[in-house]
Amino acid sequence: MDTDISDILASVSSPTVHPHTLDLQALTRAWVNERSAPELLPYPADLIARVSGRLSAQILKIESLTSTNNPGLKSTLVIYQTELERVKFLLRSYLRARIAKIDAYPHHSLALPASHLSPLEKQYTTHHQSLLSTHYHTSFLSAFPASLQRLDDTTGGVSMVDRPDEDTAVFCRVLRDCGGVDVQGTEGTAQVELRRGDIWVLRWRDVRGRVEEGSVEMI
Amino acid sequence: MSLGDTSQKLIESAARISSLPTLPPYATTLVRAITRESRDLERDIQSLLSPYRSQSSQSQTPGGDTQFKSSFNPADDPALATTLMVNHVTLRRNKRCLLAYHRTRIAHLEKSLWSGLPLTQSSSAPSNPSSQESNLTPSESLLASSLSSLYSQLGAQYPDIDLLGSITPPREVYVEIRVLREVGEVQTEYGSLVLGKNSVHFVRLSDVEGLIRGGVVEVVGEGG
Repeated sequence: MDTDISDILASVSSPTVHPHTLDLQALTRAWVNERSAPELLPYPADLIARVSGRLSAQILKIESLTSTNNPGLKSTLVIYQTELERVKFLLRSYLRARIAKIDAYPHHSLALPASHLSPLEKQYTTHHQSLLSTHYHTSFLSAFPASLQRLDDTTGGVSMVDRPDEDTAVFCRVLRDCGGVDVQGTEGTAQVELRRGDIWVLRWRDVRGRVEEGSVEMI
Repeated sequence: MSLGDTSQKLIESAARISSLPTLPPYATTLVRAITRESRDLERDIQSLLSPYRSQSSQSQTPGGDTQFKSSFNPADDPALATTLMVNHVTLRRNKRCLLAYHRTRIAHLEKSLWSGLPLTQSSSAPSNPSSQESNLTPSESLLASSLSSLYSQLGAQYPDIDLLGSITPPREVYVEIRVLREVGEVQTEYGSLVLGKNSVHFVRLSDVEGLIRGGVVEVVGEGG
């Protein structure tokens, strides 16, 4: 009963936030999640398109303000430019974190569902992988028996495909109540209840679904 | 030397690479020894299996195990089965070790490429072309140049955010820099800038980032 009331209160009293601010929040969250999660997360195509669009608009705006040469605008301009640099950094660091993961697990990344990679990232991965494959072949692989020359070979007990460690522990914060999670311990299974505001160290495998649906964020 | 020892050595040297500032020479001898061992293993497997190879055994599975296509039944001859097993596993392990070694070297290369360090020079001694260039195999040099053009292609797809730029969070828009080597005139977004040796300028950080990374100018103070 208590929780119902606080939920209602929260929904009434929460101030309406400008959609631009929400996008910035979403981008920051995506950036932190991407940097902390061991595996590549789905690509938020709409969010990135909106942010990039606004970024170009802001660059144009700053350029036109600079060309007016109004001394009264100098300090406003510095604020605009600082903000611009920060958003640029956020986006750059986010995309670079994704590329680092793609580089580390190319075969695994290409096997992910299509929504995980942007078309550009997919193109990059394919090209990158073909460069590496040529290099492996010239360096040593061509001397191997034909049956062993594949790079995505997982048969015979020794897998040639590197995968991210899904069992690694991650720090996360619960954004809204989302039920229980089974935790494997040395003495059997226990269940933890994920309540709003909680901070947990859990296995990535167990919270992945919740992070993807947005109920839990990484820290 | 017993089976797999050379691979072990190669893996040990791969483990060292990641902690070294510059790429060590390519382990040509080890790589050759391992590929030779692998070819010998494959030949052994084929000759051991040849008595069992009968009519329709030529078709290979994509995974590549001709062994299971032949009429050989492991239960009939456990000793032979064990030998085959050991050979197969060693062969795969050799391949895995070679892949890991090459991947580690590439990762080292990629790291320098991303951080914008020229491969022909070490960051500490810009005037003296270090030995790194000669430590790359021809194939690796080729890979490095293809990778760097791949990165700039990718960067060009994101014109607004300078994808290849620094990934240290920005603190200031403007910085004070001192020019260490004569640069001449530089075009910026809002006009041109003449950078003579030892001169000090107050400029937009994003305009001189490339020069800072290249070691041509140094940051002496942050504006604010």
